[in-house]
Amino acid sequence: MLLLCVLPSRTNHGRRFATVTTGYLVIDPPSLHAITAALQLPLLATPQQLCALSFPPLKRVCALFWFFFLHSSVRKEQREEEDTMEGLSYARMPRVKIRELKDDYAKFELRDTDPSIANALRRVMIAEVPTIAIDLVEIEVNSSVLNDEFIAHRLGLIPLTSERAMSMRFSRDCDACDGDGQCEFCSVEFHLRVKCMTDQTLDVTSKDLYSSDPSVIPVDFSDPSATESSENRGVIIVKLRRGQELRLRAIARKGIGKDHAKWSPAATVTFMYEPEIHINEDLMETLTLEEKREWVDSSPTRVFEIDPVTQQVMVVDSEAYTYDDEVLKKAEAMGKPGLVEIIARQDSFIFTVESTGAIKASQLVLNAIEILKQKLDAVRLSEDTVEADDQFGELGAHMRGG
Amino acid sequence: MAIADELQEESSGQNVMKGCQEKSLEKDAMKGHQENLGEPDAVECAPGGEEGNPYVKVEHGTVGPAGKHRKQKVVAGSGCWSVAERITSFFDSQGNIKDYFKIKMSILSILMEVGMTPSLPKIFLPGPPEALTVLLDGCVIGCIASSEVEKVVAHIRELKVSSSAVIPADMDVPLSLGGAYPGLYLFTSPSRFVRPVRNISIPSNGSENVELIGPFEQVFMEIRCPDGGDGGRKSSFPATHEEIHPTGMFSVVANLTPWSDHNQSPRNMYQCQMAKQTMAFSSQTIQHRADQKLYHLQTPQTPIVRTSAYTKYNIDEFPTGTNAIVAVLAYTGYDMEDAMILNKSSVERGMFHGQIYQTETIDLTEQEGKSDRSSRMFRRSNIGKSACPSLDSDGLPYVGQMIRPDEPYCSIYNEVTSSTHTYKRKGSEAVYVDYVAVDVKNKKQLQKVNIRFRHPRNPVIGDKFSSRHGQKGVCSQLWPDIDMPFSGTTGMHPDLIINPHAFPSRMTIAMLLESVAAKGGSLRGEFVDATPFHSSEKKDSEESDSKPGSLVDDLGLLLREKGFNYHGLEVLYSGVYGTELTCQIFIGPVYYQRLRHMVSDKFQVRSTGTIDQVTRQPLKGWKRGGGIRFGEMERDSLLAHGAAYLLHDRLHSCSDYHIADVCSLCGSMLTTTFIQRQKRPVREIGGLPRGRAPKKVTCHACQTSKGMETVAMHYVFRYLAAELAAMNIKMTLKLCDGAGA
Ligand SMILES: [Zn+2]
Ligand SMILES: [Zn+2]
Repeated sequence: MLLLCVLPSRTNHGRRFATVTTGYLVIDPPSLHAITAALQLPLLATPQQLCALSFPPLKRVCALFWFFFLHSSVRKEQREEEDTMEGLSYARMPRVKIRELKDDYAKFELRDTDPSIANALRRVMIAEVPTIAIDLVEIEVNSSVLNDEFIAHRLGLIPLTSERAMSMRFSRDCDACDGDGQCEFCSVEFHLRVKCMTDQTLDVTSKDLYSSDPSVIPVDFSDPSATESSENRGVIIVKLRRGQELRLRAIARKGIGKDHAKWSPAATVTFMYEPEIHINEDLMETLTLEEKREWVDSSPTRVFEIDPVTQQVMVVDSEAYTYDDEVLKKAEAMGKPGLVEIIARQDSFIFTVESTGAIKASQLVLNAIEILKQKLDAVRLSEDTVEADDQFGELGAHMRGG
Repeated sequence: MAIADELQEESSGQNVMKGCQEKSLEKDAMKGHQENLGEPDAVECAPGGEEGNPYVKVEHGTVGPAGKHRKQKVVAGSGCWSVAERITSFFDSQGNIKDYFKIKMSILSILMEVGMTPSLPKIFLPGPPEALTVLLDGCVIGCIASSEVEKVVAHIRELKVSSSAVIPADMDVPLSLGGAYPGLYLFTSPSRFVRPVRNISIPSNGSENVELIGPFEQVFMEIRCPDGGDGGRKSSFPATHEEIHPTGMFSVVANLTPWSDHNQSPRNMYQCQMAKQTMAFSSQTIQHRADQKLYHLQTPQTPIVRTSAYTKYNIDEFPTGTNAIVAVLAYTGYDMEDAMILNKSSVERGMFHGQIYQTETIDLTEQEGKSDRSSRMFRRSNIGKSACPSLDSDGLPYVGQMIRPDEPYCSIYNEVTSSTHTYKRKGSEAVYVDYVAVDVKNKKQLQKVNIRFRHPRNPVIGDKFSSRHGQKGVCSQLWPDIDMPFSGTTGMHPDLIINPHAFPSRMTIAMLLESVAAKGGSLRGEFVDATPFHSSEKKDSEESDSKPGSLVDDLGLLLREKGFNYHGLEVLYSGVYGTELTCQIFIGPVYYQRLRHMVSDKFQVRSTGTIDQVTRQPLKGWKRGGGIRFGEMERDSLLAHGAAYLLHDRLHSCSDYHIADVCSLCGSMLTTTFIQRQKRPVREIGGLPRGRAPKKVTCHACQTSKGMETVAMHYVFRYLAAELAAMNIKMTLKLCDGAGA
């Protein structure tokens, strides 16, 4: 059983601030479709607050202001609502439908929720799901053509398998090593010693990195089904000629993409609003076949097609539509405004997730939801309790309306 | 390139690597790779120009020494810059050394045939205007009747092109009919600049009739653009020659701007200036070089959109920038006024990373005092082992070592005085020792070292970048990836955001074209040719019936084919809210260059610091840690704001604040003296520091200390009083209570 939890929110119908509730969704892997709502937690956090939560420290001041401003408006609206629509539950049950799932790729639908939630999920996937990456390099010998910083930078960008990352400690919070960042709870040690002894140029790759932890190794991009070939030897770090040598020790640590892009597990995370396309059949019939063809061809992507039999225009792939408005402009230019109506559904999203290989794409989504949930818990806790001030500092005071 | 090779050869022989682990002298370790020392590929030649300017000269109105009175940026049309493709060689096509005597004799005989009167038998020659003097390599060899001379020149040119070997193909034939020195000047010597043009006055029998012309004759020739037109010439002066390509008028730098024919011309010139300030991939052999200062881009890319000259001159060996995904929109306000927002994640992944290599040379033989020359050597002092851990026992730093400001990087021991002198790093940033080269020419003792340092220069806020279209900008923010707008369909984020206001007034249409073309090119996996004046080229044969569409059409259709918007627009979503942006955004890859003006080399900060000895006011100058002038106009603006306290802080407290003793009786501030008190034996109380006895000040003139007052003032005021006193002018101060003042 694959446990998914998604944060639904009440539909807001143009209202900017809505209450968010959490729920759990359970997905059965064989079907990948059966989704059951399991739990609901009432929460007070606006979608905008969610966005603000994933703000970088740089914009902390800005976020503080937002919290203050938004909180007051939320409170006000909530009071108004409580007066008018008492006793109604606005909890929504978001649904997830997985379309395609590979190790480094996932495509899924997220329905019955708001753009803010979808975007929060995207942002967390890119910037806040932790992975492990090389953070400290001690160079013993480097007689290669690349300088020390260059090699250290390249090492940092090599994706390492990071299933362990969620349970690992940040070295700054590690009490086992007093923030030294060198103990087994918060770091993984790597060694690399290569010297070129032949006249052939030697490629130093990520496969030459020896890890102290068998679960944290450089990501293997080679196709396991392919036969042992000298090609695809991993990520090239540097090339050595005869007599050149590279010897170093590297410490990999847990981190998040917000701090440095090397810790981002996502190659690409994007979502699009699901388009709803309605063709005005009556108006369409007033067009000649030639005009229909011209209109269909006006879209750069293949969204519409003409049925070879009935010669009717039909939607073949609504998701190929990129909201470029080309067909609408064309209809207008042809003197037939309203030929087609395209609505971007505000509660339905199609996500595409590509992973760097550090963690599986499916795991990336699950971890992101887990982190989003932790953030919400933190917000909820600090709603009434002063104890959360340790965690949030000034932010907590603001959230309590201070 | 030839110069680079020489330097490199020199260093490869004498420099010895100094590693941190092993310090064996491996002389062969750095055999510089030999490049063919043949003819240089391209050299810029300049008839009537200075420095290495672009193809036309740019004048900044009346530019004062500091460029203060810069008015309109005016472009002067003087001096046409073009590329000398070749240099005349000592060798002929077979590789044998040319027989210059034979060449001269053959030229002489041809000139005699066409009617030149030789100078030798007769000493007195008819001069202009009836006859024109003929000079060969600077020597007068005869004269030709003025009426005949043009025919003679045409004949010589014909022979020159026909490769009949009687006239060298690379001879200069400048003919000046007017001016101060009319005459026919012939040149055959080696090492002259020449470039090919097509001779169209000779009937072409299938051959191209390419003639090599020099900078001297070029000015007196009628060369037309190969667009099929006459270039506005009158029929009495028909064009005799034609450029091989319309870009023949450009220099190397100007030739690298894609579609420069679509840009407003000043922008092309700004780009020519900026291309020379790029922090590029400057050398393939950096590890063997000892340049004073060398800027180096760590992760360069080859441009997707490039001109034919780019390929021709092998700029790929020395690329100058990166293909950045550029979105044109006003996103946060941080892209106002030519500022630009860089994607923080892109930078962290290595975009525009770079470093400065800087070499310090320490030569013991050059230092003063020949007597103790041999007594000085590179050595660390025995005491200083713990004091300077960055140095090895030979007084030189370890390779790879980080050296912070004020830390020593080299130590010299003097045997006679048995003292050590250390060289310390100046500046405010830590550097890395990249390389230590020692000169072992002197067999007995090491006398000279080159220490190369590496300054990391990864992009920070305030660094300067530019596209290839004179569109420069300063990085204002390193914006987080997640806050950048993104495309819903492809998930692309921009690497760089620039403001749309950069375009209307500057009209750099080629930059927009480049963006569209590069997008199409990257989708198809092909480079796009952006050679300017493509449409002006003469079409081969008359099969140009299939009327070619406009450039925009060609590029737009490529995008459309791949399912993208024809104009290069895309629907983007706000990275912060996840909502669609209200309009479509122009986004695509544009080749961006990093310019070598970086804040780390320029920023100036000071609270207190060095002061002038006379006035006690802060010094100016970045190097000395001085201040920036807070002048009258700045003062006026603070007054206008009513910021009195700030004004006082800037102009007084942080400047030459001084408390003077003034005698209120005589009003003098110069006659005051401290009275030296008799040392009263004060018993020290239990180790406590002795309380300072209050100073006693008296007026020398009044012989009393009754009227002494302290007044806060500028130190220069006291200086002024002293200067006036020197001119026998007395300055009297009248003191009163603050209330009445
Ligand atoms: Zn630890
Ligand atoms: Zn006095």
